Amino acid sequence: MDRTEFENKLLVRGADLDRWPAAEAEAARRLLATDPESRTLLADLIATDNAIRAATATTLDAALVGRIFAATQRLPAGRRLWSGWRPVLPAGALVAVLLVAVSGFRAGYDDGFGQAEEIDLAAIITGDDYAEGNLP
Amino acid sequence: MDQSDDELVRAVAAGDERAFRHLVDRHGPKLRAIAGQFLDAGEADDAVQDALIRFWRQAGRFDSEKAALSTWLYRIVVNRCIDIRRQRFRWPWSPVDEAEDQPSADVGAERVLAGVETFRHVATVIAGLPARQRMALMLATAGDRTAEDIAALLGVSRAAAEQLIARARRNIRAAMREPTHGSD
Repeated sequence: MDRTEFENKLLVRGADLDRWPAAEAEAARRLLATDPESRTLLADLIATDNAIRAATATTLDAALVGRIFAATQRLPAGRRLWSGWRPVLPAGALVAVLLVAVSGFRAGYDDGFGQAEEIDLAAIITGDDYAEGNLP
Repeated sequence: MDQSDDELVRAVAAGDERAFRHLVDRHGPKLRAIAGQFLDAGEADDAVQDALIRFWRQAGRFDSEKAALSTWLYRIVVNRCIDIRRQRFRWPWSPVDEAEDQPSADVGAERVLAGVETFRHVATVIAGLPARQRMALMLATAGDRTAEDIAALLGVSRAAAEQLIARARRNIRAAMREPTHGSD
């Protein structure tokens, strides 16, 4: 890494070399060890960023904090209600599918056979097909 | 020892107000510093309040693996800044505008009037930066965001975000190197 490349990366990534990609940080440290002007560039950027942070730093107004916490009293936190159930969800889904399948089979069985018996019975009672025609 | 954001998020999801207060203390001032560069005081307060209360309400559904809390909070505040400025100034939020390469011309005059105090001088120079440079700079410094984060937050390419950050830092550095006028 040469000084120009270092400066360009410095301006983008900032002065904290620990936050740079490892290979770039290593190359930058090698340059800094041998090049005093690179060290000046680094010191300049640290001073610049510190000045920016200091010039724009602010605290939260007490009234704003009060409003935020007043709102939390009115609104309960969004709880993670289902997080404890996650491990059993697949098994629960399988049970639900089986229940639906069994219910469906039973309903089909009743409609197909139980209802047919009622139709037959109605026809026998009335002596014609009237009962069947009234069935839904 | 300080708890990580992830630990605090889990505690807030369980309804822990102290954990929420830690997060407000940790992120609130940075969010307010960024919003304050683009909105008036009341609007900036509202933007911060909105972001933090939204988090409180949605903490149970918050997935730290999808996005860091800080990125999520910054997104709300940045979007609010962009929306309000669009309404007010018809601000075109296009990726990089070469016409905005330099700070506005009246910065020097404002700085002379502002006096010599370094922080005030820097604050004035920052205020004179083009809006996108200013946002990128604030996210990079006050917000500790990476270029990748900033690209995502501003809806620009990573290369464009890097340009914005570098130009802003160059402009501030140059302004700090200039001799200040009107010094005692």
